[in-house]
Amino acid sequence: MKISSINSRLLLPLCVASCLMVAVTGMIDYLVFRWVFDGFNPLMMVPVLLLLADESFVVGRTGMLIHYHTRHTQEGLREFLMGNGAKQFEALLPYYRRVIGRSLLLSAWRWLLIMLIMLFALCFVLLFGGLSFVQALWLLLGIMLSVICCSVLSLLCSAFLYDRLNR
Amino acid sequence: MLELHDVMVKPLQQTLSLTVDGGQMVCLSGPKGAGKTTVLRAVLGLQPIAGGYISIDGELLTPLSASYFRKDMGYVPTRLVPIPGQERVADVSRMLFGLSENQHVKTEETDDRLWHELTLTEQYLKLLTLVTQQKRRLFLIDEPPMALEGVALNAMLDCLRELMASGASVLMANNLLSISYLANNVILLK
Repeated sequence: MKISSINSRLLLPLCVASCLMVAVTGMIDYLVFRWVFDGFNPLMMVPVLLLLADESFVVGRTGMLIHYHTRHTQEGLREFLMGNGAKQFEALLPYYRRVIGRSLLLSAWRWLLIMLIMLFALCFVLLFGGLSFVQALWLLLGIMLSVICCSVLSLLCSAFLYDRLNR
Repeated sequence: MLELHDVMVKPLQQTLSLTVDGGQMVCLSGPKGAGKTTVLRAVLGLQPIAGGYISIDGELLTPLSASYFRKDMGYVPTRLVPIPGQERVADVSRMLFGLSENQHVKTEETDDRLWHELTLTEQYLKLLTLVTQQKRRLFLIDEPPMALEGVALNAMLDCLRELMASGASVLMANNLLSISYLANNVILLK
């Protein structure tokens, strides 16, 4: 299945989960940055939020296609586990492990690229905006950490919502 | 005790009634597509039934109560295809015995081979061995992927005898005469 051929049954959980996780992670980021950096300009959150939204959607989309494909080709495993007393969530855990592993592997290079190019560019902007180098470095690490957390949580949440909607 | 009363489920041509008491085995026989696996799935609550009822120890099995009853069931499918990346025999064992219902079962699987390195018969017997290590009262066993003979057949027969001796009920989909001899009742599905 091509990455572009995402259907509406996958799109709804993906959009809901991405929006939710971007809102939550963005809020936490904003509170942390405002607490750590004196005079933090809220406008600086705009690129951060855009980055979070983009990453959570891209990683979520890749992950959901992997999840959808695995669920449909390896459905027998879920029935085997459920038939032996597994709860719904326990029977789906191997599928979640697979989707997290694969998606992180596929996204690792992308994140490295973002780390090297996009966020260093952001750092320069921040340096010129009045932040010290150490502060900008901490900000970079903070943003990268929140991108990874947001993507993973968004992916897990999408897969979970998809399974709940298609029981 | 498992009871199926006038159960109607696609693709069965007629209603099905049967009873399996503790220590008994009932075999479902019939050609491919007759509905043997479907009946097992219906007992597991994974397949909705169109009519009749299924009860376990006098209590009705419904889509809502099925998960409660499954805690006391063991299920052996004909074939299992593990998820890529979790394909070792030890992984399959860990998945099964990692379930909250199986926390009390002490077992250690050291077989490091990949699941697809085993023959179909070996895979089936391994599943049977793993599932029957669980202390359950009702076992649902799907038919072997191919005709068993020799050592494999003896291992299967020994396993079934042990289950029945332990007082467990066994409902099995099977077309092998040598296994049907062990059964208390054989039902032919058309």
